[in-house]
Amino acid sequence: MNITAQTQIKSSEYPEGFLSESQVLKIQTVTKLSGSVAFSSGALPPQNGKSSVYHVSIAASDSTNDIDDATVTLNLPNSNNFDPTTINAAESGKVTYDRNTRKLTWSLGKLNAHTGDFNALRRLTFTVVVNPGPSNSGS
Amino acid sequence: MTLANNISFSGTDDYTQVPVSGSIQDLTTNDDPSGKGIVQ
Repeated sequence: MNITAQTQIKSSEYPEGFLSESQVLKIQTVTKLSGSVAFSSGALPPQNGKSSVYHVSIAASDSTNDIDDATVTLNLPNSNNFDPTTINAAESGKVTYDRNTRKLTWSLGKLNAHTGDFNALRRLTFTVVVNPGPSNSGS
Repeated sequence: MTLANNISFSGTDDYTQVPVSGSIQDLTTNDDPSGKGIVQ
């Protein structure tokens, strides 16, 4: 986005004023990442030795300019058997998951300007199954 | 109990060519609206 600014200085001695050259300001876009969690099935509250299933949602929005090579990364530290087939179809082809590091990479590509207002929000959803152990009690 | 952590965003502003980045807090079972996210 551009903002063009011009200054004019006037005085009682020179009422016509002095006009500056125009200055063009490039405005950087503002991106926002958000996340949410929703219990799906299994033990609630989570219990030692029992499985609980949660839906995870990550959303990306953008304001005035396109974003190139937009990427979201995250780790799933307690998901021993993450199932990538639970990823929503709209984004599943843009996600890779490394089982060794448990790192998930969401390669959004171009994140269009005004994603989340004039353009639809980009959202990644998937399911995580956790099996708490004794060390997880109280967490 | 943590479900997702180290959640971060990166990219390049197509107009200004400035790198953009950001991150959000970890997502845990305690973020579930039920309020019953603490492991028993």
